Amino acid sequence: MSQATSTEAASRWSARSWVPILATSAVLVAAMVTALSIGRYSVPFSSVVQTLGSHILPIKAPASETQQNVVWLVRFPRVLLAVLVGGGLGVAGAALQAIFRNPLVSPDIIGVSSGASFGGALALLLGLGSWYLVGGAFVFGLTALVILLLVTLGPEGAPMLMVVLGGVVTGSFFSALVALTTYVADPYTTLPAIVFWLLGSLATATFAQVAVAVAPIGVGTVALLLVRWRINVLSLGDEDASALGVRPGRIRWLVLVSAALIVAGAVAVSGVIGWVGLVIPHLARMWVGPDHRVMLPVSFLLGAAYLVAVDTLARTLTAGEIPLGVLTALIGAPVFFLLLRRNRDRVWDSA
Amino acid sequence: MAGRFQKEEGGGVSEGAGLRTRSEPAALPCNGLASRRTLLKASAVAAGAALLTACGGDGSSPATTRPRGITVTDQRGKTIVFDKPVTRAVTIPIPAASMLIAIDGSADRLVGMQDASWTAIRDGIMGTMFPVALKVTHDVANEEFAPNVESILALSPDVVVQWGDHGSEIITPLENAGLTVLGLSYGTQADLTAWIRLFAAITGKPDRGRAMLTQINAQLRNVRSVGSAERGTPPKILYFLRYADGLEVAGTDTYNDYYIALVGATNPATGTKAVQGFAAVDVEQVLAWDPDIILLGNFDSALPDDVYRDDVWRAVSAVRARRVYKVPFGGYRWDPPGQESPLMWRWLSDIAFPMQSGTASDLRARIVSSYQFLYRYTPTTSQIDDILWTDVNSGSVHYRELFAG
Repeated sequence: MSQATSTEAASRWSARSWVPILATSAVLVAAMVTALSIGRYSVPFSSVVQTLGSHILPIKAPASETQQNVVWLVRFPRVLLAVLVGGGLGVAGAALQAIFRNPLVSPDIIGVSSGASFGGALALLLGLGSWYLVGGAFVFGLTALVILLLVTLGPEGAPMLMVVLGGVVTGSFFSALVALTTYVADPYTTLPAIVFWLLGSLATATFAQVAVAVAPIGVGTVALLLVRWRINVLSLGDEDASALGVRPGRIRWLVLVSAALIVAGAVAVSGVIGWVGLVIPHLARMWVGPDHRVMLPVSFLLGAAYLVAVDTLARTLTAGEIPLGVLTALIGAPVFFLLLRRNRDRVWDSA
Repeated sequence: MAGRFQKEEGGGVSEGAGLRTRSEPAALPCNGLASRRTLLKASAVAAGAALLTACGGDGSSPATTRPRGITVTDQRGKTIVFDKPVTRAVTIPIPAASMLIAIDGSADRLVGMQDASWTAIRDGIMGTMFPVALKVTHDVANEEFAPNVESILALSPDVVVQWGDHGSEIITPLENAGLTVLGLSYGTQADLTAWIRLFAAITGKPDRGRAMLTQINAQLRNVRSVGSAERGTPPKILYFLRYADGLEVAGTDTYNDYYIALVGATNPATGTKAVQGFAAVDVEQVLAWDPDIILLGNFDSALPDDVYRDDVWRAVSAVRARRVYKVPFGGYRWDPPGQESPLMWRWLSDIAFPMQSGTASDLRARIVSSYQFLYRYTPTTSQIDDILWTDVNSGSVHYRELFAG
């Protein structure tokens, strides 16, 4: 992309740019309403509406207590968590792909997922409560980022190749620590709990977990959205960005820290859910183009809608629950394959 | 990526947890028996009786006092000859250590075991009854049951008890090193019978094995008669393998389902919306099943109060009636099949059909007599309280009246 097209893109920001954002918002709302209305325990749609209404307006819902509990305490936190995790992973993936200028980058690449996995696995190994699980994932996710900083940061800033290699090294190190955790875990008690959590699931969603996830994911997402114009400039390359008066080093680290916050928050509450951060930005880019002012919000909304839909499938298709991470990979990989086949020539530059 | 890698490892281990029924044919310690699938279809009494008759009738008992030694066929179908009863045994399947101790009535023959077997012995009453077991080497295999051949060789065992149905990678290295391997499978009443017969045979105590099986069969008939005498709708009992970090229930082809049916109750997870094996489920599915009784297993730390306190569960029949119980933990967990399974059946039968007008159960007396037979040990009142989780279950209906000390 040249500077000329970027200026052109900037000038194209207009009322029309809101169309994809509004359209995806509508899709997300539709997905959420659908998710709230279906489940293994049957609740009539009118009761769903009444229950939601009674928690917003001071009216008493005529729905039975069980129906209200199912909608408000079981489905609603789960849907909110899917929105946060899916949206967060989508926007983090989009921002990372832009600053690495590499369409195959996903949040896993900077090692934060592995770090967070280790923190959570450690908490499960030691038999600590769910707050420690969340805290452990968070602390070690950020630890992975600090190690990455120490590995890559020199007097001249961090070269892109070093960041990728540093991420691979950090990720491998924490993967080994996760393997060590499972090695010493009791195969009858703690190991299955660790494996279940690592597999990725929203099954244990509560409002407490939503409260925990909303801070890191919210802060990270807002930060990314605030610098979305600068991300556009950064995606031109460091020299062009410097020439345009943007300091590439600072913005890049701001994006990395934001993405790390988002991923740590997501892994803490839901384990490792793969593919969302890779597939969703691609879908968004093919639809709205590489202008990050539009593409970042669309990635968030699309990721949120996608995870809400997939999680609804995971909990309703069979009596047993299908692991979410498995389902996102099963759906994500073939979709990604088709996208790549169809758009071989314009995956990155001219989508 | 860590998650994916771990998932595969976990798959292997949940197999290792080994509570599922496996349907492939397996050779039992006597010849002339049909596959285990057939055995499963028959009632467990019939299965137990068939084993006894089949083995006793033609005189080809796996345990003999013939001078030629002891010939057994393990659950892989491999025939093994021992010159004399084994005196040095290494066990790798987790429940095998406490089972061997129970069948032998002592821990003297055990020279090595899996680390998880050892922690189960340390944390339960087994360590109190057999303090010598806590000194036994327990670094003979990793958590995937892969043996450490050199540590095992250093113990110079007569036999290594190993999973027979977890692939050859965990058996071949042992056999290549010249060790004698007894391959086992696990999860059904027929497997339990087979383990008792095999362990009794190799320790040279076939009569004790027969006595245990006779008692087990008597208990089977007894418990079944209680259930069939009940009129009215049988209670729906749902067993939770895991509650704390994601729900997992026992569906079809689990031993838990076997004993729920045995006592005359029904398992909603095997009804019209059945799940296979141990399955992760959504809480909405549990609400839809609406169990009358909830059993919390010993594979995580969930307690009845955790269920009672959760608003989502308030509408479940078991919570409204306060019928949520933690499964007891004696010489080994009572959830999977084991030497104390007849006590589990009795406990579950009492929970399912609590006798009217506060009549106490005779479970405590049965525990005492079983322990005297199995472990030559008389548990104290407070030890029985620990086994029955009397403190954490006391908030549930009938528990104190039923099992008062």
